[in-house]
Amino acid sequence: MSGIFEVRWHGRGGQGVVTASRILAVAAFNEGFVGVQSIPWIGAERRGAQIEAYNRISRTPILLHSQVYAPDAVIVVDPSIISEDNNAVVRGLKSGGFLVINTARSNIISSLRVPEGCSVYLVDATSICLELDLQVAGLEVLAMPMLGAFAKATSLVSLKSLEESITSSFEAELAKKNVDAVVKAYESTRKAHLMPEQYVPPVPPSKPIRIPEIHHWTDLPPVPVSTPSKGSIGNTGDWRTRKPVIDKEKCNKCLFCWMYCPEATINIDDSGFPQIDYNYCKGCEVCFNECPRKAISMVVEEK
Amino acid sequence: METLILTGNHAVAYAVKMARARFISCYPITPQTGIVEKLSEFILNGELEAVFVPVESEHSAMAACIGASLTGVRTFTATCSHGLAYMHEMVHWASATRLPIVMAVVNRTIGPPWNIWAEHGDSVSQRDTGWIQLYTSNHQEAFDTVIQAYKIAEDPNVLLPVMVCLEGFVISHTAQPVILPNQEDVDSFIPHEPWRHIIVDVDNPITHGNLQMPEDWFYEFRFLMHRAMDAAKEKIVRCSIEFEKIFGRNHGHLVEEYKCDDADVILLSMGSLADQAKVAVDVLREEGYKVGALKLRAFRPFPEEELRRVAKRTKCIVVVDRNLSPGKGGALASELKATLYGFKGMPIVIECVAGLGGRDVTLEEEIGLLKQAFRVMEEDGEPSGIIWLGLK
Repeated sequence: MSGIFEVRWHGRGGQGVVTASRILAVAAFNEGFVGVQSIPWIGAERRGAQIEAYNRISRTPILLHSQVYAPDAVIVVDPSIISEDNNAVVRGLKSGGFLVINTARSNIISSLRVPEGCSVYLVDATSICLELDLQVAGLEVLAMPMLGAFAKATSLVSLKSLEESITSSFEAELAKKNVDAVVKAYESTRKAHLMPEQYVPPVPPSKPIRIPEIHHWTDLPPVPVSTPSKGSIGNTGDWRTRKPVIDKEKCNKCLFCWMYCPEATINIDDSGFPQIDYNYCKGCEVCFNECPRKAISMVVEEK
Repeated sequence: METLILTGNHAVAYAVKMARARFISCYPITPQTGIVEKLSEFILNGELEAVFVPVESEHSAMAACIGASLTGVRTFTATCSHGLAYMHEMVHWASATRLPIVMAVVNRTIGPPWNIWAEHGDSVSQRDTGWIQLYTSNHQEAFDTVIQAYKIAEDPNVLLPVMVCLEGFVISHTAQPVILPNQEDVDSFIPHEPWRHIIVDVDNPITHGNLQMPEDWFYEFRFLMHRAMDAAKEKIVRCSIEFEKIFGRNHGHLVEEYKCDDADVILLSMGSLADQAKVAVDVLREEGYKVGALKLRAFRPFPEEELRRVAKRTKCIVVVDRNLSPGKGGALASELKATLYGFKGMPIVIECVAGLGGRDVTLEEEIGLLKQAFRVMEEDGEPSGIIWLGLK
C-alpha cells in the first residue's frame, strides 16, 4: 500500500462507530502504520441519528485534517442506511475500493450499484451482536463486528492487532465479548458476487447538503428561523433497531405511553387505544418501560 | 516515553497532568468537555494530585483560577465559544494581575445560529485581553504547547497567562498518535518555582486590585504588560529551542516556515489549516510551483519582525483566516497588513476567509488558493477584496 488509505464509516449514534474507528486506528498503528487518524463526524449528537466517521491509515505521518471524501473503503454499519440511499454510501468511493456491509438479507445485493472494480463484502453483524448480547444501553454495538469484516475484506490489519487494540480499550470481560464478535465476523464475512451491470462509474465526491431548497447565499434571510413542522429531521423511524408493539389484549387505555413518549409519536385511535406512528418512533423504549400493564414489547426490526 | 492514540482533548489533559497542575477549575462546554472529563478521571484515580473545583460558570472558573494562582500554585482551565465570552471579564483580571494561568481554548464559533464547530473567532475576539495566544496545528503540538505554556507564563520577565488554542472537533475529537515524554524530562523542563510578585499568604496580608487614579500608575502598568509581551517573544523562541533539545521536536518558534526560502507565494494560516497547507505545498512543488507555507503559532505577542523577514523574500502572501470581524475581514490578514505597511519591498497580501462554523477546508481548496495567487500576480498584481472560500 502506498499513500494514505481512507475509510468512511456509516452508522447511527449509539452503535459504537466512533469507538470502532478509534480501535481501528490503534490496531493500524500497532501494525506499523505511523500515520493514523480516527475522525468522528458527529452531527446533532443524538442516539439513532445517522453519523459518519473516518480513518486515515498511512506509512508516514498525516498532516491532513479535513474529512474524507474519496474513501478506499466504506463500512456500512447500519443496513437501513443503504436502503435509504445507495448513492450516499458509495459517494466518492474509489474504483477498486471496498464496500463492507452489515446485512442479514442477501437480496440487498441485487439493488447495489458500486464503482467499477469494487469488492463488496457482507456480514450479519446484527445477529452476531444479538447472539453475544453485545449491547450498550439497549443498542447493539454493530460497529465492533464490522472491524472483523473490514480486516477480512482489506487485509489491512490483522485479527491479532484488532484483538490487542480491543484488549487495551476495555475491561477484561467486555474485551472478550468484543473480540469474540470481531472474530465471528471475520470468519463469517463473505464476498458478494455482483452482475456486470451493477458496476457503474464512480459517484463523484461531494460535501453533504442538508437544506436542499436553498441554493445560494442570496436566497438566505438575515437570520434563520424555523416553524413547527412534523418530522423536520426526516423519518426518525429509521433510527430504530427494535420497535415497540402494543398488545391490545393487555392495554387498558391508561395512555401513560402517549403521555411519556418524548417525541409525541403516539396518537389515540378512534376507540381510545394508543397507536404508534412508526414513521417517527425512534425505538427509545420509554413507553416500554413506563407501561404499567406490561402491554408493550420491544421487537427486533427486520431491515 | 510511550506513544498513545489520543484525541486532541485527551492530549491536552495528559499534558496538564504531566505539567503537574495543582489546581483545576472548569465548566464543561462542547467541544472542550473531553479535557474536563479526563482530568477529573486522573484526579479520581490518583494519577494527578490536584484540587478540582467544579463551578457554575466559566466566569467563576476563571475567578477560581485567579484565586488559586494568587497562592502560587500551577493552575489550569479550559473553555471555548460562549463559555469564553462569558468568562471575558475575568480573562482581563487574570492577565492584569500577571498570573501565569494556562487555559486551553478548544476553538468553536459563537452562535446564533447554533453551531458547535471549529472557528478561531472565540479566542481571536479575546485578542486585547493581555493573554499570550498560541495556536496549535495537531495533537502532538497541542500536547507540547501546553507543556511549553507553563514555562513561558511563569518566566519572571513574562508573568502573563497563556491560551493554548486547538480547533474543536478537527483536533479535539479526532485521534492521532501522541508521544508522551518521560515525566522526569517534563519535571526538569518545567520545574515549579512559585512566583513572588503577588502571593496571598494569611501571615503576610496584602490587598491587590486597588484603585489607581488617572495620574497614578495605571497607564504604566499597561505599558509593563506590553513590555512583558515583548519579553514573551524571546521566551517563546528560547522555550521552543530548549524543548527541542530535550524532546527532539520543534513546532516552530513564533512562526513556522515550510519551504518558504525561495517561495513566490506563501500561504499563512493558524491551526490545522497550517498543517494541511504543507501537503498543498508539496503537491504544488511537484508541479513546479514555488510555494511555501507559513504557520503562525503566536497571535499574541504578534511576531512582527519574523513576519517581515519572511515577507521580504516573497512576492505574495495568501492569508487564510478561520475567523471573521464583520465589516473588516479576517484578523490575521489585518494584523499582517498592519505589520508590513511602510516597509520597503513588501509582497501583495491576498485575504481569504475560510472554514467558519466548522465548514470543512480541504487540501484541494488550499491548493486552489495558492494557484489563484499566481493568477492575481500575472494579471495586475492587485488583490480584489476578500476571497470567501467555498461560499455557496
